[in-house]
Amino acid sequence: MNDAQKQLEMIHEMMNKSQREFQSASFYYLFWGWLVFISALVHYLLLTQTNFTHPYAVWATMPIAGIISGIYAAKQQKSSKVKTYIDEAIGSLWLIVAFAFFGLIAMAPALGIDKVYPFLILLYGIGTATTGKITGFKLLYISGLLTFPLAVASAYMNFDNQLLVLALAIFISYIIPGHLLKKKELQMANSDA
Amino acid sequence: MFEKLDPLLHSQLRLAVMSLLVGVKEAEFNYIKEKTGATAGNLSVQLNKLKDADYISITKEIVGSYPRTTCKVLPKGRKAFSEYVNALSSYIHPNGNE
Repeated sequence: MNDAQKQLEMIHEMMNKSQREFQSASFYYLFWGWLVFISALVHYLLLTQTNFTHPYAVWATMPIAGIISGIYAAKQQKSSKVKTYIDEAIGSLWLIVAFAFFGLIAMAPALGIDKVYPFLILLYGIGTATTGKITGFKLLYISGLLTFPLAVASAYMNFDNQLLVLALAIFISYIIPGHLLKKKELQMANSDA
Repeated sequence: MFEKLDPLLHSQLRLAVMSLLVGVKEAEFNYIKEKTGATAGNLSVQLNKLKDADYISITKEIVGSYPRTTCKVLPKGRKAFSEYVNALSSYIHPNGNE
Protein backbone atom coordinates (compact mmCIF):
# COMPACT_ATOMS: atom_id res chain seq x y z
CA MET A 1 0.00 0.00 0.00
CA ASN A 2 2.81 2.34 1.02
CA ASP A 3 4.75 1.33 -2.11
CA ALA A 4 1.77 2.16 -4.30
CA GLN A 5 1.59 5.61 -2.73
CA LYS A 6 5.31 6.16 -3.29
CA GLN A 7 5.06 5.03 -6.90
CA LEU A 8 2.16 7.37 -7.57
CA GLU A 9 4.18 10.22 -6.06
CA MET A 10 7.13 9.35 -8.30
CA ILE A 11 4.85 9.26 -11.38
CA HIS A 12 3.48 12.65 -10.43
CA GLU A 13 6.98 14.08 -9.92
CA MET A 14 8.25 12.80 -13.28
CA MET A 15 5.19 14.07 -15.14
CA ASN A 16 5.66 17.48 -13.52
CA LYS A 17 9.30 17.57 -14.60
CA SER A 18 8.41 17.16 -18.26
CA GLN A 19 5.33 19.35 -18.28
CA ARG A 20 7.24 22.38 -17.06
CA GLU A 21 9.40 22.25 -20.18
CA PHE A 22 8.89 24.33 -23.25
CA GLN A 23 11.33 25.76 -25.71
CA SER A 24 12.92 29.15 -25.32
CA ALA A 25 10.70 31.71 -27.06
CA SER A 26 12.23 35.02 -26.01
CA PHE A 27 14.30 35.20 -29.21
CA TYR A 28 11.15 35.40 -31.35
CA TYR A 29 9.52 38.05 -29.15
CA LEU A 30 12.62 40.23 -29.02
CA PHE A 31 13.68 39.74 -32.64
CA TRP A 32 10.24 40.37 -34.16
CA GLY A 33 9.26 42.86 -31.48
CA TRP A 34 12.18 45.23 -32.01
CA LEU A 35 12.12 44.77 -35.79
CA VAL A 36 8.40 45.59 -36.16
CA PHE A 37 8.64 48.37 -33.55
CA ILE A 38 11.53 50.10 -35.38
CA SER A 39 9.98 49.47 -38.82
CA ALA A 40 6.65 51.01 -37.75
CA LEU A 41 8.40 54.12 -36.35
CA VAL A 42 10.66 54.49 -39.42
CA HIS A 43 7.61 54.12 -41.67
CA TYR A 44 5.83 56.79 -39.63
CA LEU A 45 8.80 59.20 -39.81
CA LEU A 46 9.31 58.64 -43.54
CA LEU A 47 5.59 59.21 -44.12
CA THR A 48 5.21 62.35 -42.01
CA GLN A 49 8.64 63.99 -42.08
CA THR A 50 9.99 63.33 -45.58
CA ASN A 51 8.83 63.35 -49.20
CA PHE A 52 10.04 59.79 -49.75
CA THR A 53 7.64 58.19 -52.23
CA HIS A 54 7.85 54.59 -50.98
CA PRO A 55 7.93 54.75 -47.17
CA TYR A 56 6.42 51.25 -46.95
CA ALA A 57 9.69 49.88 -48.41
CA VAL A 58 10.87 49.58 -44.79
CA TRP A 59 8.75 46.42 -44.48
CA ALA A 60 10.89 44.70 -47.14
CA THR A 61 12.98 43.46 -44.19
CA MET A 62 10.13 41.18 -43.11
CA PRO A 63 10.73 38.27 -45.55
CA ILE A 64 14.44 38.30 -44.64
CA ALA A 65 13.50 38.29 -40.96
CA GLY A 66 11.15 35.37 -41.69
CA ILE A 67 14.05 33.37 -43.17
CA ILE A 68 16.32 34.19 -40.17
CA SER A 69 13.52 33.19 -37.79
CA GLY A 70 12.97 29.94 -39.72
CA ILE A 71 16.69 29.05 -39.60
CA TYR A 72 16.75 29.74 -35.84
CA ALA A 73 13.65 27.56 -35.34
CA ALA A 74 15.19 24.68 -37.32
CA LYS A 75 18.43 24.91 -35.29
CA GLN A 76 16.52 25.04 -32.02
CA GLN A 77 14.47 22.02 -33.10
CA LYS A 78 17.64 20.03 -33.80
CA SER A 79 19.31 20.91 -30.52
CA SER A 80 16.26 20.49 -28.28
CA LYS A 81 16.36 17.48 -25.96
CA VAL A 82 12.60 17.26 -25.57
CA LYS A 83 9.60 18.18 -27.65
CA THR A 84 6.43 18.88 -25.69
CA TYR A 85 2.80 19.21 -26.74
CA ILE A 86 3.00 22.83 -25.54
CA ASP A 87 5.78 23.53 -28.08
CA GLU A 88 3.68 21.95 -30.80
CA ALA A 89 0.53 23.91 -29.88
CA ILE A 90 2.41 27.23 -29.78
CA GLY A 91 4.21 26.49 -33.06
CA SER A 92 0.91 25.69 -34.79
CA LEU A 93 -0.73 28.80 -33.36
CA TRP A 94 1.97 31.16 -34.68
CA LEU A 95 2.07 29.43 -38.04
CA ILE A 96 -1.67 30.01 -38.43
CA VAL A 97 -1.28 33.61 -37.20
CA ALA A 98 1.43 34.08 -39.88
CA PHE A 99 -0.93 32.71 -42.57
CA ALA A 100 -3.66 35.10 -41.39
CA PHE A 101 -1.09 37.92 -41.60
CA PHE A 102 -0.33 37.11 -45.23
CA GLY A 103 -4.06 36.91 -45.91
CA LEU A 104 -4.64 40.36 -44.46
CA ILE A 105 -1.69 41.88 -46.34
CA ALA A 106 -3.08 40.35 -49.55
CA MET A 107 -6.44 42.04 -48.84
CA ALA A 108 -4.84 45.46 -48.26
CA PRO A 109 -4.81 46.63 -51.92
CA ALA A 110 -8.54 45.89 -52.20
CA LEU A 111 -9.68 47.14 -48.79
CA GLY A 112 -7.12 49.86 -48.08
CA ILE A 113 -4.14 49.49 -45.75
CA ASP A 114 -5.81 51.52 -42.98
CA LYS A 115 -8.70 49.02 -42.96
CA VAL A 116 -6.49 45.99 -42.36
CA TYR A 117 -4.06 47.47 -39.79
CA PRO A 118 -6.44 47.14 -36.81
CA PHE A 119 -6.79 43.44 -37.66
CA LEU A 120 -3.01 43.06 -37.85
CA ILE A 121 -2.73 44.52 -34.34
CA LEU A 122 -5.53 42.20 -33.20
CA LEU A 123 -3.65 39.20 -34.62
CA TYR A 124 -0.48 40.09 -32.67
CA GLY A 125 -2.64 40.23 -29.55
CA ILE A 126 -4.38 36.90 -30.27
CA GLY A 127 -1.02 35.13 -30.75
CA THR A 128 0.53 36.61 -27.61
CA ALA A 129 -2.51 36.22 -25.33
CA THR A 130 -3.08 32.59 -26.40
CA THR A 131 0.61 31.75 -25.93
CA GLY A 132 0.43 33.31 -22.46
CA LYS A 133 -2.65 31.25 -21.61
CA ILE A 134 -1.12 27.97 -22.86
CA THR A 135 2.21 28.46 -21.07
CA GLY A 136 0.67 29.91 -17.91
CA PHE A 137 2.77 33.08 -18.30
CA LYS A 138 0.21 35.57 -17.00
CA LEU A 139 2.00 38.72 -18.13
CA LEU A 140 2.14 37.46 -21.70
CA TYR A 141 -1.61 36.77 -21.55
CA ILE A 142 -2.41 40.22 -20.14
CA SER A 143 -0.09 42.07 -22.53
CA GLY A 144 -1.73 40.26 -25.45
CA LEU A 145 -5.20 41.24 -24.24
CA LEU A 146 -4.08 44.86 -23.81
CA THR A 147 -3.56 45.15 -27.56
CA PHE A 148 -7.28 44.51 -28.18
CA PRO A 149 -8.43 48.01 -27.12
CA LEU A 150 -5.50 49.42 -29.11
CA ALA A 151 -6.72 47.55 -32.20
CA VAL A 152 -10.23 48.95 -31.69
CA ALA A 153 -8.89 52.50 -31.17
CA SER A 154 -6.73 52.25 -34.29
CA ALA A 155 -9.83 51.52 -36.39
CA TYR A 156 -10.89 55.14 -35.73
CA MET A 157 -7.52 56.69 -36.67
CA ASN A 158 -5.79 57.64 -39.88
CA PHE A 159 -2.96 55.46 -41.20
CA ASP A 160 -0.14 57.66 -39.82
CA ASN A 161 -1.41 57.25 -36.27
CA GLN A 162 -2.15 53.56 -36.81
CA LEU A 163 1.60 53.08 -37.30
CA LEU A 164 2.23 54.62 -33.87
CA VAL A 165 -0.46 52.41 -32.30
CA LEU A 166 1.15 49.38 -33.95
CA ALA A 167 4.51 50.35 -32.42
CA LEU A 168 2.85 50.75 -29.00
CA ALA A 169 1.00 47.41 -29.34
CA ILE A 170 4.26 45.66 -30.25
CA PHE A 171 6.07 47.29 -27.37
CA ILE A 172 3.41 46.04 -24.93
CA SER A 173 2.78 42.58 -26.37
CA TYR A 174 6.26 41.59 -27.64
CA ILE A 175 9.10 43.69 -26.28
CA ILE A 176 8.16 43.89 -22.58
CA PRO A 177 7.13 40.20 -22.25
CA GLY A 178 10.12 39.23 -24.47
CA HIS A 179 12.57 40.78 -22.00
CA LEU A 180 10.74 39.21 -19.05
CA LEU A 181 10.69 35.82 -20.80
CA LYS A 182 14.43 36.13 -21.37
CA LYS A 183 14.93 36.85 -17.67
CA LYS A 184 12.74 33.87 -16.71
CA GLU A 185 14.60 31.54 -19.13
CA LEU A 186 17.96 32.63 -17.70
CA GLN A 187 16.67 31.99 -14.17
CA MET A 188 15.41 28.52 -15.17
CA ALA A 189 18.71 27.72 -16.91
CA ASN A 190 20.64 28.76 -13.79
CA SER A 191 18.39 26.74 -11.47
CA ASP A 192 18.82 23.63 -13.70
CA ALA A 193 22.61 24.04 -13.72
CA MET B 1 -10.34 -6.48 -5.26
CA PHE B 2 -6.78 -5.48 -6.20
CA GLU B 3 -5.97 -5.18 -9.90
CA LYS B 4 -2.89 -6.96 -11.26
CA LEU B 5 0.10 -4.70 -11.86
CA ASP B 6 1.87 -4.83 -15.24
CA PRO B 7 5.28 -6.44 -14.47
CA LEU B 8 6.96 -4.42 -17.22
CA LEU B 9 5.99 -1.17 -15.53
CA HIS B 10 6.55 -2.51 -12.03
CA SER B 11 10.15 -1.36 -12.12
CA GLN B 12 11.19 2.00 -10.73
CA LEU B 13 13.22 3.11 -13.76
CA ARG B 14 10.87 1.86 -16.48
CA LEU B 15 7.95 3.50 -14.68
CA ALA B 16 9.91 6.75 -14.33
CA VAL B 17 10.71 6.69 -18.06
CA MET B 18 7.08 6.10 -18.99
CA SER B 19 5.90 8.84 -16.60
CA LEU B 20 8.30 11.24 -18.25
CA LEU B 21 7.43 10.25 -21.80
CA VAL B 22 3.62 10.28 -21.50
CA GLY B 23 3.71 14.04 -20.86
CA VAL B 24 5.82 14.95 -23.90
CA LYS B 25 5.75 14.34 -27.62
CA GLU B 26 9.26 12.89 -27.69
CA ALA B 27 12.44 13.08 -25.62
CA GLU B 28 16.11 12.50 -26.26
CA PHE B 29 18.07 9.77 -24.45
CA ASN B 30 20.24 12.29 -22.56
CA TYR B 31 17.17 14.18 -21.36
CA ILE B 32 15.65 10.97 -19.95
CA LYS B 33 18.99 10.05 -18.38
CA GLU B 34 19.28 13.48 -16.77
CA LYS B 35 15.72 13.51 -15.40
CA THR B 36 15.70 9.94 -14.12
CA GLY B 37 19.25 10.02 -12.78
CA ALA B 38 19.91 6.58 -14.30
CA THR B 39 23.21 5.37 -15.74
CA ALA B 40 23.45 5.21 -19.53
CA GLY B 41 23.90 1.44 -19.54
CA ASN B 42 20.94 0.66 -17.28
CA LEU B 43 18.71 3.16 -19.08
CA SER B 44 19.60 1.67 -22.44
CA VAL B 45 18.62 -1.84 -21.25
CA GLN B 46 15.32 -0.64 -19.77
CA LEU B 47 14.43 1.40 -22.86
CA ASN B 48 14.97 -1.65 -25.04
CA LYS B 49 12.61 -3.69 -22.84
CA LEU B 50 9.93 -1.03 -23.26
CA LYS B 51 10.61 -0.95 -26.99
CA ASP B 52 10.35 -4.76 -27.32
CA ALA B 53 6.91 -4.56 -25.69
CA ASP B 54 5.89 -1.83 -28.18
CA TYR B 55 5.40 0.62 -25.30
CA ILE B 56 7.80 3.11 -26.84
CA SER B 57 9.57 3.72 -30.14
CA ILE B 58 13.28 4.49 -30.33
CA THR B 59 14.68 6.46 -33.25
CA LYS B 60 18.41 6.70 -33.84
CA GLU B 61 19.81 9.33 -36.19
CA ILE B 62 22.94 11.35 -36.80
CA VAL B 63 22.57 15.09 -36.23
CA GLY B 64 25.64 16.99 -37.36
CA SER B 65 28.30 14.47 -36.47
CA TYR B 66 26.67 13.23 -33.27
CA PRO B 67 24.34 10.25 -32.78
CA ARG B 68 20.94 11.12 -31.36
CA THR B 69 18.45 8.72 -29.80
CA THR B 70 14.86 9.86 -29.43
CA CYS B 71 12.10 8.03 -27.55
CA LYS B 72 8.36 8.34 -27.94
CA VAL B 73 5.43 6.64 -26.21
CA LEU B 74 3.31 4.42 -28.47
CA PRO B 75 -0.48 3.95 -28.03
CA LYS B 76 0.06 0.50 -26.45
CA GLY B 77 2.42 2.04 -23.87
CA ARG B 78 0.04 4.89 -23.13
CA LYS B 79 -2.78 2.39 -22.51
CA ALA B 80 -0.58 0.20 -20.31
CA PHE B 81 0.57 3.23 -18.32
CA SER B 82 -2.99 4.40 -17.77
CA GLU B 83 -4.05 0.90 -16.63
CA TYR B 84 -1.04 0.73 -14.31
CA VAL B 85 -1.91 4.04 -12.67
CA ASN B 86 -5.52 2.90 -12.25
CA ALA B 87 -4.33 -0.36 -10.70
CA LEU B 88 -2.04 1.53 -8.30
CA SER B 89 -4.94 3.78 -7.32
CA SER B 90 -7.04 0.71 -6.53
CA TYR B 91 -4.33 -0.35 -4.03
CA ILE B 92 -4.55 3.02 -2.30
CA HIS B 93 -8.34 3.35 -2.48
CA PRO B 94 -9.52 -0.30 -2.54
CA ASN B 95 -13.18 0.70 -2.28
CA GLY B 96 -12.93 3.09 -5.18
CA ASN B 97 -13.29 6.12 -2.91
CA GLU B 98 -11.83 9.39 -4.23
